[in-house]
Amino acid sequence: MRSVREFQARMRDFAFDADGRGALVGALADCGGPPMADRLSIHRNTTMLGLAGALGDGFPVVRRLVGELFFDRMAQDFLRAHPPRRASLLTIGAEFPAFLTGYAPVRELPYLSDVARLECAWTHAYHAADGEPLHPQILATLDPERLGELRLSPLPSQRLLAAAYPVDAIWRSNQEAAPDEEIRLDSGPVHLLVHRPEMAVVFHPLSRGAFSFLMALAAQQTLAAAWDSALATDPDFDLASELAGLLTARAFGGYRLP
Amino acid sequence: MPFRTAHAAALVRPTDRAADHPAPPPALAGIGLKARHAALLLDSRPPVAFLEIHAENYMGAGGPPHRWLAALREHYPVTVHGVGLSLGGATPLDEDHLDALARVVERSRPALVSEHLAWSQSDGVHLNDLLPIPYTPATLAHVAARIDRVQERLRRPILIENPSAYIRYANSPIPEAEFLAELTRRTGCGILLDVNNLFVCAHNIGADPLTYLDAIPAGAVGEYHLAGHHHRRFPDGTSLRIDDHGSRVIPEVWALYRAAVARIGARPTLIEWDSDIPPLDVLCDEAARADAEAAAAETAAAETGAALATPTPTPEVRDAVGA
Repeated sequence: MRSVREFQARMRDFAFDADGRGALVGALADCGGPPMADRLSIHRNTTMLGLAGALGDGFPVVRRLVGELFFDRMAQDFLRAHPPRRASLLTIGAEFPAFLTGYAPVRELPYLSDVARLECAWTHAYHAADGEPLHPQILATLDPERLGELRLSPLPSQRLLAAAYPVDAIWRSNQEAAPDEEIRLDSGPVHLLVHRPEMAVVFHPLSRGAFSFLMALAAQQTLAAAWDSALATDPDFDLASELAGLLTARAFGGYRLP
Repeated sequence: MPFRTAHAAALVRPTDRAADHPAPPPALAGIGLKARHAALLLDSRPPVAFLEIHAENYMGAGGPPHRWLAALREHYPVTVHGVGLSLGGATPLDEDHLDALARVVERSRPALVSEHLAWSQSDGVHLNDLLPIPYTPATLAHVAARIDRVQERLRRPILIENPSAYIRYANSPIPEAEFLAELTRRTGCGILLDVNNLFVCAHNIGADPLTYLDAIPAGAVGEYHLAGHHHRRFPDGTSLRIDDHGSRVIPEVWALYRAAVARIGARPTLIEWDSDIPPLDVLCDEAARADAEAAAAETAAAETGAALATPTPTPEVRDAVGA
């Protein structure tokens, strides 16, 4: 099996780097017809173009923003640096947003990495475990004296995302049949709750205070401690109205009250 | 640990949910389940015999894919086809992937589970390709041990599919059909005979498909695959047939399918279509064609007095499924 293992390792390197074709040929038989180079290229294309296609399916807005041809080249650069470690490609590209931050050819598109992070969050939410959101009126059923000790847990699909650019508007305007929407790149940072209360993934814009509040709750802090976090970020944070808004958005998947 | 041993059979208990799987679908044609077709399938319920899913597309924890599949399972038998286990890989089996496959099998309780006689992973890197392996006594023992492991984990026998190939190894003394036959004997697995792959290999690396069919143990064949492929011609007049699952089945492959059915008998048959996916009615049309071709081949074989093998499970397989 050692020779098989060595061949497979060389074939893997060839598939990602198109290098070392010569080292493969010795293990192969001549079957006439097209030359060996054309035969091996089929495998290389299956790997690189197939994986680039899967990456593009996971990041359709990034692909649309840079165009398909450019995306394919960029995807291949990414795949050489981060070959997939899993056979299921549902969540391919976890390292793609960070890769884009340092990828010189897209330096002119500083928002691209944030858009990719939003698409990662979307994919996570789409495939995450289903959760039953808490009823918006749940607080009315609890002892008001003890609400400070309440721990609210997120839905399994939840991702919280802070970005320097209006990535939710960029995302929306790059969907099929999207209405025209004016996007100002200098409109300031956005804070988003990305989750899936039912079958559709939803982006919910948050205030800075609500973002800190949800971050603290996701870290399993009590309602009182999360409120403190929110106030530290945003002295005008209004707990009653923000919490009601989050419950209406069905942001929570469960609670604990000791 | 061979799956046919008393020990392995004892693993199959009525309480094992993974072992609680439905009988194979009828010997008719099914189609691959594509996300874009799910709503229309549920609304129109075309008369296809089963739906096949790629296991890797259902390895998420939840969400719409599982919701659609659960709804469609009410109306169609489901079969699970894995493309990522790398049974022919020389580096250790990806146990996390096997766990994920076991979860898909437990959740969808498929009528059949299949994987490939191929490798797709090396030192943890996934190639998204199904590459052939050399067929030697050493690789035979290696792949048989991995199939044993998978069947033990899934608590059921699986079908192994013949690959498409563009290269042939210099040192590969065992003919592929014999290699597959020996795998069925050693592990109790069945065979998924991909007729398009067989045709593609014949063209690309010079195998003889009819000799191949004669060497396949008919009773072990549990499913056929049919697909279209791309015929790439080079300036010097040579060509390769690329197994891209992106078009209708070509006449030569229908002819080979009839030859297979005449020798082996009709089995559940999948129309595979994975790139340039057409509207649902095109897939259903191909499935209806497959049913007609299989019926014609069986009738012709009966008229010429050819004895058709019936899909009798080996005692090992019967034990394995607790029948």
